[in-house]
Order: sequence, then structure tokens, then C-alpha cells
Amino acid sequence: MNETQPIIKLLATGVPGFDEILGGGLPEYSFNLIAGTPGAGKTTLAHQMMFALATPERPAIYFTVLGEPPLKMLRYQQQFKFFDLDKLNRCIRLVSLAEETASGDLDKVLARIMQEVETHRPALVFVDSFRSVALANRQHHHDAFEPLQRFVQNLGVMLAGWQATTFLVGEYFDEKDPSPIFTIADGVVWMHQSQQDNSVVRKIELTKMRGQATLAGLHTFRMGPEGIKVFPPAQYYGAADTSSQPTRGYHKMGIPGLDKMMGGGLPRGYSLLVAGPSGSGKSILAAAFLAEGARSGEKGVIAAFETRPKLSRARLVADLIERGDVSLVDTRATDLSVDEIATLLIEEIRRTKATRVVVDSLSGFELAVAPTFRGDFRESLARLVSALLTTGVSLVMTSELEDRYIDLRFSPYGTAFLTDAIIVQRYIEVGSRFQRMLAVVKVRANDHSNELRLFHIDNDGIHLGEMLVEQEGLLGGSPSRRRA
Amino acid sequence: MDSFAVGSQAALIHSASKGAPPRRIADSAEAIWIRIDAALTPIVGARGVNALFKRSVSLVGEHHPWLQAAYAVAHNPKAFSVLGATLAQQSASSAAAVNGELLEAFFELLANLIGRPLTERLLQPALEKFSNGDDVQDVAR
Repeated sequence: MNETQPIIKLLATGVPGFDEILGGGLPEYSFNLIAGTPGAGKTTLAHQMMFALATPERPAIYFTVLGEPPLKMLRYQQQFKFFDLDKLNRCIRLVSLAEETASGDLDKVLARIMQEVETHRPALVFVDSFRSVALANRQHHHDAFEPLQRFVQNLGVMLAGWQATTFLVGEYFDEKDPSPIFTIADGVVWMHQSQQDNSVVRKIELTKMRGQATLAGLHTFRMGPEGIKVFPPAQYYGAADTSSQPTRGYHKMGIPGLDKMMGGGLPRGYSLLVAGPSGSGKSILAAAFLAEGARSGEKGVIAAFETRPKLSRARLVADLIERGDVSLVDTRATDLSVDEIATLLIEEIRRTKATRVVVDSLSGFELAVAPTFRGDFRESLARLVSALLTTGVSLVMTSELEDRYIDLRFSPYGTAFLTDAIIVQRYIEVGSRFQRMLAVVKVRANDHSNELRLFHIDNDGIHLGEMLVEQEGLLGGSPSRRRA
Repeated sequence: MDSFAVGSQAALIHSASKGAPPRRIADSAEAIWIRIDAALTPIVGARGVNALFKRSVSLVGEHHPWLQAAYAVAHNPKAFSVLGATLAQQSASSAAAVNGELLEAFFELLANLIGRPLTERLLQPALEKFSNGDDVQDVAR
């Protein structure tokens, strides 16, 4: 690095996932704009950052302008867990600018802000909402542009001079709004609520951040009792996590005989797709994989989109979860994004040091994501798989397969190509019975069996049976006895 | 009942029982309101404080019709001096008691909106001065 370059300190915003998309954190002394439509979460983002960043050494002033009445803001923001009463008055000052704004005189507003800044020397300054300042100004000037621009320019210069990291929170409806502050700001954060059909997805975007390699694009976020949580794109984790390489060796599958068919088990760090028609026993196979891990002291993580863990057969998984051997990623939220599930899975993997991960099933997963993400579900899934594998785990995914006897398919998503191993389950008719059959189709770079084996399921799980050597045409679903 | 309302009411009632004239009770009451206003206005704005004060006067005024005069100007910057003047026309004990009711109503309204802990924290500057043996207590001596 050039030694004459200023070193820009990056502040940790305290908003999970936000530092990642910022490219490491928020540049100190930057002048930022938080823009979006009403209800997009602007004030919440500002408060969450303020409560995380403010300390007695780094105090904050939060200026409220007309917009949301301060009493209401205090009422609602207290619902979030980040709201810290102890920090109020000690290192956070709330200042109402209502009177100055009502006057419509921007110079008065600026003077009051400066007076507070000079008196209290905050390191963090928030002005919420800036839209109100702009509107108040517009009422008093026919040509509203010029004084507003001067105001913003002065504010920016002054606050940079006072070494304050600044946020202007404002309502903007149009990104093309030629507002002068977009030019002056060092950083512009857009918060959107995008709607498709009945689903609304919250997204955040950094359209500008000087001097920072931000993660481009729209990133989903969720607002909950903890505040805002941003979900960086799944590939971010792939790039960030190069440390964990899977150890060599195999994961035992927990089904007698299956390891041998696979050539030793599932090679560590592999992804396995279990494809089969409804009821063929995919979830049971995945559960056996987790249970086997638990027996050898390995932790597991499951994202279950279909089975309700409390129900009969899924009892095995429920018990594993109860004992803490497997942790369950919450998939009940509406309008999920693939990135959200990726983030939640990776968090759990890191927290529990899990080595076995199950996604059950891809079909349920696709239904759970918001309509807006279904279009590129395949691409997102590919990113999720590679992101998960970079953490060093082995991954088992199940996929519903429409039982067509005339063609041999493994996944409706064309996901077969992105998995290292495939097990397919089929129904066949033998001796006037509906029988189950499975085969190991692929285990990349591993010598595996090519047998088609009967299997049955009882309370103890899957039991592999014979090969049907006397039969042929098994894949067609209705085999016939081979002629001697 | 909260410590704030209890303390202020107790002190005023104590002063009244010691024979302080209504005018001094009224002045003390006014002083308390000015301190509350000073503590809250920077944060919630003058309008916010006014709205709460007006609502408090309205609630307490239901039982004390003579507060109507104070209610009529409650949105006015001089609202507190009008309240003082109104209280001064009552007996010392009545003025002290009614002001206690007003404070309690005000505190309850604020606590309802933003919660008790934050209310106490925001009113702390006004409280501190009050509990440090200030003019209200002096009146009693």
C-alpha cells in the first residue's frame, strides 16, 4: 500500500450481514444517505447502527425532524432488542429539530445542528428524516434546489470537519430523483420493499460507497425482534471461507450395505442428491445420515421444508434435534430467499461445527422462497451448494421426482449436475407388489456399485434387499422375468 | 404510583400543610413543570410536550372544572404560568393535590407511550434537581 494514502477506518455497524455487503464495514467520517419508501426500515437501520456504534468515547446525536414524531419513534424503536436505555443520554442524544424545520429556514436548521455538534462533539450524527427538511424548504422557495444543495453541501463539509460519521435518513421514491445530495453523499443505501403477487420481500442495496469494494446488487434482509439482518449473497461465504477443507475419508450413511454400494460411504465434502418419487424414503435416508453422524459424535444441521419434525416418522430427526446433535434452521418464515437460507445454514454450521448438512427437500425449498426468487432458483441453488461445501461439510439434499417410467431423471431443477453423488429411488411392480428400489447413480471419482437393489422401510429405517437378477426392465417400473 | 409523582406530591402537600400560601405552592408547581419541559422539549419537541400537558390537564380537569382556564391555554408557551395562576386561586392543599394529579397523569401518559424506564430516564434531569433539596423543600421550612 502507498504510505501516503490515508487509512480509512471501517466501523462495525452492528447490523448482521451489513458489514459484509459494505465491504468490511462503514468508512469512518463518511457522509451517508439512507433512502427508501415509507416503511422500508430506514429509521430502524439508523437506530440499530447508532446503538451499536455509540460509546461514551464515540457519542451520537440523533436529530429528529418533522417526519415521525419523536415520541412515536421512541415508542416503536424500543420494541427492538438493540434499543439500549443505558446508552440514551449517556452516549446518545436525541434532539428534536421540529421548531427549526417548521420555520422553513434551512439556515436555522443548519445553525441548530452545528450548535449541537459544536457543544457535544458527536462522532456520529443522524438526521431523520431529511425529506422533511427538503419539503420545508420547498414551501419557502420557488427554486428549491439551490438552497437545499447549499445546505447539504455545508452540512457535509462541516460534519466532515468535525470528524463525524453522518447519516441522512430520507424518503425518496425515485432513484432517478436528481437530488443534489446523491452527488454529495459518500454512501447511498437504498432500502426497498419489492412486491410480487402477495409476497413482499425487503431488499437493501448500496448504490454508492466511495472507496469501498461493496457487494453489488440487491440483498434481502429481514426485520425481526433483533432488528435488521441482511443476507449477503451465498457466494460471499465461498469467497470468505477458504480455511475449512474437509478431511479425507468417508461419512457413513447409517444404512447397512449402502456404504459398500457407494464405495465406502459419502466422501467427506461431497454433496449428495437423493431423488425419488413421493414417499419413496428420501427423508428417511437423510435422517439416517444425520443419526449416523450423531452416533460418531458429529453434529448436523437440517433445513426441513416438508416434514413437520413432531410427526411420526420424522421422530428420529426430532429426537436428534432435542438432544442437540442436530440443529434445525427455521424455514417457517414467509417469502424466503435462497441467500437467507444459506446464511442461516452457514451460521449454524459455524456455531455447532457441524459436518453433516441436510436440505429436505429442494421441492419444498422452492415453494418456500418468495415468487420473485423462483425464476433464478437454479442459479441460487448452485451458489448455495458451493457456498455450503466451502465450509467443509457434506451435504445431502432430497428432491422430489415425478415418477415417469419412460425416462430416467434425477431432478426437476437440473441440479443433478451440481452434486457429486446421486442416489435414486424408484417404485417398481414385482410379483403384484409395489416395491421400492434404489441405485447409486454417481459418486464422483469414487468406485461405486451399479446394482439396482430392492429395499424396504420399517420402524428402524431403510433395509437394503436383494438385487433382482432374474428381472429386467426395472427402470421402466414394470420388470419382466428375464428369459433364460 | 411512581416515585416522581409521589415525591412531588408529597413535597407540595407537605409545604401546604406547613402553611405555605397558595402562591408559593403554585410557583413551586410551575417550576417543576418548567424543568420537565426543559428536559423533554429537546427530545420530543415543544409540540410533543404541549400535547402531553394538554391531555393531562384535560384528564385531571374532569374532576376539577376550575382547571378549564389552564386547559384553554395549554398549547400556549405560557401554559405553565397560567397553570400557576390558576393554582394560586385555590387553597394551598387543593393546589398541591391537583398538581400532583397533573404530574401523575403526565407521567402515566408518557410511560404509556414510551415505557416507564425510558420515561424515568428522560425525566431524570428534572427529578434530580427536585430530590436535591430544592425550592419546593425550602418552602416547607
